[in-house]
Amino acid sequence: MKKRRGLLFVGLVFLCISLVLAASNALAKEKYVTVLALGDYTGAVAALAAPALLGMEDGIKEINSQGGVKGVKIKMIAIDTRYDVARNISAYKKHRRDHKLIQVIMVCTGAQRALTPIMTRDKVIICPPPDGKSAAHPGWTFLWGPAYQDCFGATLEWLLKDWKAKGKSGKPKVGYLSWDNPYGKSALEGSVEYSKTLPLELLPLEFFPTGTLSHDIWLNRLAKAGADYIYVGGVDPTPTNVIRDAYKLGLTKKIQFMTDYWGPTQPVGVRQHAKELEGSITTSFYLKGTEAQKNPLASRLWTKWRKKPMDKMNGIYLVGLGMYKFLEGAMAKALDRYGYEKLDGKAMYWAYTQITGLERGGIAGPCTYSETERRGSQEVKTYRVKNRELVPITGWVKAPDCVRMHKWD
Amino acid sequence: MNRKKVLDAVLAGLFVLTLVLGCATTGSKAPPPTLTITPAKTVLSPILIKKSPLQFSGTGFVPKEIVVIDLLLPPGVKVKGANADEREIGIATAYADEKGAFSTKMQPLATLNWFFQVDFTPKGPDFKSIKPLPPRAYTIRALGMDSDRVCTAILEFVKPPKKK
Repeated sequence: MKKRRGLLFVGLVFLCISLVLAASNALAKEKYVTVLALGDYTGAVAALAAPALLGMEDGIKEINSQGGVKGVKIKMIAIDTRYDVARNISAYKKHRRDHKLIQVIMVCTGAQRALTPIMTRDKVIICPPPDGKSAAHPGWTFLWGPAYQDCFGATLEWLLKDWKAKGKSGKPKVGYLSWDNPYGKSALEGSVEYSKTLPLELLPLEFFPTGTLSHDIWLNRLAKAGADYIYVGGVDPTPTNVIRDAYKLGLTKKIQFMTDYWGPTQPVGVRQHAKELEGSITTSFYLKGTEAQKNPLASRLWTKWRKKPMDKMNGIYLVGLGMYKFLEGAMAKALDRYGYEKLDGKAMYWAYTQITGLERGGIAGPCTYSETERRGSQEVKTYRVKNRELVPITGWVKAPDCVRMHKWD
Repeated sequence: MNRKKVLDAVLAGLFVLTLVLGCATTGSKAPPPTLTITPAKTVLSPILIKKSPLQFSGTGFVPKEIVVIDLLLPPGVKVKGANADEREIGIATAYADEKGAFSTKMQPLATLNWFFQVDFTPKGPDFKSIKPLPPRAYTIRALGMDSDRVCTAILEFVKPPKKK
């Protein structure tokens, strides 16, 4: 009896080992690369990061459902970093040796700055929000779109046309009000220099701490200085809250409020404060509002993978779709040249510099990555809040290259 | 010797080995790394957010490398934002100096995120939503980014004293 039990035990062990080996063999045979997404799903800037990461995730699901890029699938590892630098760094440490890790998407500027030297050494592509410093020093960082300073420069150009269209004379006075952090300051590196070449007066810059409840002090100061236009930074709902405060102070009647890429979105700010935001404008490198919801690529993937009505889709979802199209295009190039065995970060680096002009279903301007360019595109559109919607008031316009106007260290 | 005794002996051996390897280098002759947590035993209270954050210090890492401080989650303890299969959460980082020593404080956002598990609203952290980690002993690990040198220490959250 004891002998039979022993034999049965040995047999079971062999069976388990065989199953494990078979499973690992199957995994080894599947061709795939790894993409690490470090972003906020629940944290402080989830309003920006979560929709973008969902877009990326759905794009990857779409690729994989069609058999991958030239037969190579993409494994996306998503980590909720809650805007915490330590969590980002720890997650990268954990996954840096994962099978064919070719790209890391990250939203935390502090973590990006700490990890860039290591990722560069590891030869991994870094895809962060458009902080112009990385465009000034082309390396392994490929930005989502035109840099923040380019966005401010494009908005200055728009306001000059608006000023003229309104038949006003003299120089318009422009206020700048944003978060007191690296993001708030980075939009000025080059755009301030550009503003000096334009017929306008840039008022003393104003910054407020993140999490500020009332923005009256800064708004009153800019109003007192005679602002005709105020450019508001921050991730929605911050810009919405600033304009809400301006409305309460009666400033929206005489001052034109403007925001950047992360300004009011239709499902968040515009819906909650439609009356206060009416007439404000936002500059964007991706489609926004109803136009975003009507985009065929966005509506197909959103309804297929999220199974939710289109009015629930945040326009920032398209930022993720833009990244997935870049990844798909670059992987195809890299596979053509290097094949799967040699597909690594270095191959992807080369490929990213070769997808200049890539179209992405009309969700953003054509790709501008090249051997010397790290901005994903250089075109922006302007939208106005009108009757609870974000309505386009311009077509795609080339943003000025403010990054090159700054004297970098 | 019966089978149970053999099994006990093997388990005891493994336990001793784990203790010995608690702080280890990977094949180098360098002295084993150290990790000190200050305070190592505390009540999980808001004072840790800004006024007296936890401090981590250590030695024995490679000069200039990043040292990652991880909270190793015990079985059954979940943290907001962690995937179901994640057992380690980065809670602090530091750069080792020329001698391979480091010292760092836990940042307020990390304390809010991982110890208090706070939710965020458009206006900032929502303190009504806090869900502090349960009082117990937690293993904290210091890990060299490039060297893979590793050391662990215990952080104990104790129950707050009962109000009289």
